[in-house]
Amino acid sequence: MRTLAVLLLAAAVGCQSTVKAPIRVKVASAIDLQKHRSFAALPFVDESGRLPDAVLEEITEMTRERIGRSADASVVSGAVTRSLMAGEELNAGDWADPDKARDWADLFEVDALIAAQASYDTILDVQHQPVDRYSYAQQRIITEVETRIVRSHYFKLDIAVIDSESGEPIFRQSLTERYREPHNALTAIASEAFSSTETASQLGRRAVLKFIRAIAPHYEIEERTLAR
Amino acid sequence: MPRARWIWTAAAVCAACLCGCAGSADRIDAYNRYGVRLAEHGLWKEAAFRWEQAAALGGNAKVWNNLGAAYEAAEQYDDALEAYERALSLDPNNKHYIQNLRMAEMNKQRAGRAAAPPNETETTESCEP
Repeated sequence: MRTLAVLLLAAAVGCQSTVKAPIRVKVASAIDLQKHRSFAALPFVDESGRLPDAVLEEITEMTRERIGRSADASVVSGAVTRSLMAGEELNAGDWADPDKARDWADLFEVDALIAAQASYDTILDVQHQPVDRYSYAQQRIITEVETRIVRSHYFKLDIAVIDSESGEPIFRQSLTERYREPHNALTAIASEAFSSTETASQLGRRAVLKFIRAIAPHYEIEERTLAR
Repeated sequence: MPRARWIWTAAAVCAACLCGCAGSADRIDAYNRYGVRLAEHGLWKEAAFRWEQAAALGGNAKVWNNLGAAYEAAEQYDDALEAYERALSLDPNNKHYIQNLRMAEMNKQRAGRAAAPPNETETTESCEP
């Protein structure tokens, strides 16, 4: 009986009529890289007032560096951007004004501007979850409530590529990155007292990478079903 | 006597046709299986050559579906769509062919997506503890 089952299984595997094969699929950029070749990334603006300048500067610089890696694109460096923007005040939502966007694009002499506003928030949450366990005293499975302390980190990046001629966004992406950090009572108090910027920085970098992936041509691996 | 010879000649012609068809089907199947083995190892150009040979012999739904995948791997999306549609015309209810066709249509759009009108996307990513 067992031999028959093994034989049937082998026959089923051997006679499988389809097979999955991976193919590389080219994904074009979300923007026209023939038309937009030079970029300037304006300093990212903090909407929440909770992000340190160092984190904002870090993710803005990362955006410049990643776009600069593309052979087709040139990016105004951070130093030049800072010197040209000296004295200028950049507020959240400024880039929604086409006139201002055109002025900045003229200032940097680029085809497109990259502007973003970020916000960051953390919430300490106490969760009560039912957990089943076997009780030797009662000789049966009992349900208990387990208390978990979780700190949730939210990083939102609203980022856009703005055309220098029209001053209008040609690509816009709203990315929300979330991280849930488990705690106990002691570490929760410690995290409240000594807040770290490392998580915000990591979430910001993750959001920037997603944006870069959307605007850079790249390949993705997909599976196709082949018949035999 | 001439009538008997005529019957024998007709029978021989029919037998030759049947043998020829059977041989062709076997060769199509052999080319197809070989192409699948090549594609599994990422040798899509060679696989496409085998499937094209099988298609030249008459092909079947399997061959056209696989040829579609090979054209897709070579970024020849119009040819891929045509091949998938041909496979579906021969086997209209095959869910694998339908899925491949849909994916190819989507990828054709993605590959040709440039200078798109202002588009907005929303992405949410979470990382659980």
